[in-house]
Amino acid sequence: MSSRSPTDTAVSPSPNPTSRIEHLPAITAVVWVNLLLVVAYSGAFGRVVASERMENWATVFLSLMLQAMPFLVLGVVVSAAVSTLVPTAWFERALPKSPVLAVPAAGAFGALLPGCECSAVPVAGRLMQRGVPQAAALTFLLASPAINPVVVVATSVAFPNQPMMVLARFLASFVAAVTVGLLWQRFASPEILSARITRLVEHHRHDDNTPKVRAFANVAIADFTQAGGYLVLGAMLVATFQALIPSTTLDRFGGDGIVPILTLAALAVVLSICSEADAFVAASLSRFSLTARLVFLTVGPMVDLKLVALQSGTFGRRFTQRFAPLTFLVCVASGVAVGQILLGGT
Amino acid sequence: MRPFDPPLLAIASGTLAVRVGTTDLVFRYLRPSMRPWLIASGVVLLALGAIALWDAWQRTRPHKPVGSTDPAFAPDQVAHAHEHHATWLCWLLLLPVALGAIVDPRALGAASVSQNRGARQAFSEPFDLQNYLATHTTGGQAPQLTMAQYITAARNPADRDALNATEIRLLGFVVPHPTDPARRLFSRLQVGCCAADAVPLVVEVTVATTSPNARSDAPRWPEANQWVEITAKLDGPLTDGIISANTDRVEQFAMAAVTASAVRLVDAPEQPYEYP
Repeated sequence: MSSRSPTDTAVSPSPNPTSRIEHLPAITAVVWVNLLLVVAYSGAFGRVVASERMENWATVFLSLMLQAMPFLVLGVVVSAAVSTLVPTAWFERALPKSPVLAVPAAGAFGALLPGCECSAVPVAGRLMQRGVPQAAALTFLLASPAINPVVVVATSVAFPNQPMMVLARFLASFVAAVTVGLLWQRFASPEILSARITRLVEHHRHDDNTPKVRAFANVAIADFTQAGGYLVLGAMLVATFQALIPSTTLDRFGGDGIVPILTLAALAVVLSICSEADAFVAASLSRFSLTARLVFLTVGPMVDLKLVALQSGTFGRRFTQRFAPLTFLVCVASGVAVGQILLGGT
Repeated sequence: MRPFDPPLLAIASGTLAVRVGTTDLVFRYLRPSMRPWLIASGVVLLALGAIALWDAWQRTRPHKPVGSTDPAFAPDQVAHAHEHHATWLCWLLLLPVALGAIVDPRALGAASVSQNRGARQAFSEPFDLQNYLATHTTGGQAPQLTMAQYITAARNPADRDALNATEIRLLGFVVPHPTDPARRLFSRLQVGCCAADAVPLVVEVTVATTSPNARSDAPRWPEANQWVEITAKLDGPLTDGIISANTDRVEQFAMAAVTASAVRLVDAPEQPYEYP
C-alpha cells in the first residue's frame, strides 16, 4: 500500500494543531453516553418504555449484542494476531499448496476456533489479507462456527435420544463448508473479494518501528468497530423479526416433505441464533422431522441475518449477494442428503 | 472516521459489557455461564481501546508532522479500515449502550410468552424423579422442580404417577390466556444461550379452592408478569388432553396442567430464566 498518496492523507488526521479540537464532539459524545450509562444504572432515570413488546425488543436486541460481544472480541483479537504477529511464512507452511487440499484443511482448522459465527468473520478477512487462498479462508469462515467442539457438545446434550444427530450435524456442516469453498474456487472471480481485502488496513510491516502492541490494538479496534456496526444492524433486524413473526405460524408447516425443510431453513436465517444454542431450539421444534431440524442446524451457523450483515461489512455487498444464496442452497442440499442417509429420511 | 472515534466506541462498548457483566443485569440477557466471558471481553475492549486511544493521541500530536519519516506516524496507520464505505454504521455501536442506559429493559416476560406460543417442547436433561423426590422432601415443604423438569416428567409415563400423587413447588410468572380469561396460566422461559433463543414453558393451573388446606395469597389470578410459587399436583386428564391436542396441530399454549393447593406471590428471582 502506498502510504503517501493523496487519497490516504485525505482521510488521515490533519497535521495542524486544530486536529484535536475536531475530535472534541466525538469525545464528548462518548463521554456523555458513558455518563448516561452509569447514571441510568444507578436508578436515577425512570424507565422509558412505550410497551412491553417494545421492551422485549430491546431485551432481545441487547441479548444478541451481549452474547456476540465475547465472540466478536475473541475474533478481533485472533484477527489482530493474524495480522500483526504471525509471520506470513507460517500460513504457507500450514496450508497445502493445492486449493483442492487447502479447502478441506481450512475446514478442519475451523474446528479449532471455539467461537460463534461472529469470531470467524474478521479472522477470515485477515487470513485472506495475509495470502491464504480465498476459498480456504471462506471454508474456515463457514466451518468454524458450525463444527467446533462447543457446538458438538451442545448438540449432543440437546439431542440425548438421537446420538446420530451430532454426527449428522458435523458431516452436513463440513460437507457444506468444503463444497462452498470448492465452488467459490472454481466459479467465482477473485476480484469480488480482492478489491475489498486490499482496503483492509495493512498494519503488518516488519520494517516499521511501531510498537507491536499499538499495531495490535489498532487492528483489533478497527475490526471491532467495523464489524460491530454491522452486528448492531443485524441484531436490530433479528429482534424485529422475532417481535413481528408469531411462532404459531410455524405450526402450519410441520410434518413431512420439502415445505417444512425450507420453513426451518428460512427460520434459521431469520432467528440468527448463536450456533452454541441453536441445538436447544431445534430440539424444541418437535413438530418438525429430524432432517428438517438438521437443515436448521446446518443453515443457521453459516447463513443468518446477523452473519450476512457482518459479512457485507467486512467483504462488501457484491460478495454477500453471491456468497449468501450459494451457501444457503448448499447447506439445504447437504442437510437433506445427510439427513436422508443418517436420520432415516425426511 | 476520525482516529479517536474507534477507540472511544470500543471503550463505550467495553463499559456496557463490564457494567452488565458485573451486576445481576447479566441474567436478563445471558445464561450465567456466559458471564465471565462477557466481563473478559469488556476488559479486553477497554484495554485495547485505551492503547489505541493513546496511539491516536500520539499520532495527532501537532509537533509530529504526518509527512515525517517516522513510520509510526504514517497516515495509513490510523485505524480507519473502512473509509471507502459506510463509516456511519459503526456509530450504531452507541445504540446498545444508549438502550441499556435509557430503556434498561427488563427480562422477557408474559408478552414474549404470548408471542412465542406454538409447537415447542420443553428440554430437560434426563433425571431420576423418584430419587429426587425421595431426597428433597425436607421440613414438610414440597420439593421444588424446574418447569422444564416438571413438564418433561409429566410427559414420561414412568413419572406420571409420582406427580399425580406428590405436591411439587413450581416457580413462574403469570401469563394471560390468549382467548379465555377464566383459564389460568403461568410460565417460565428457558434460555439456551441468550434471551433471543428463549423457549416458553407454560403450565395451566386449576386452584383447588375447596381443598381444606387451600392457602392462597391470590383470591383472583394475579396480573400478568407477577411471579408466583405454586404448590400443586399434576392434573393427569387435562395434561393428556393438552398432549393429544398438541400433536394434533392445535394452537395449544400450555404443556402440562396442575391442580394447585397453594399460590404464593413472590418476588422475581435473581435469575429469571431456566437453563438446559
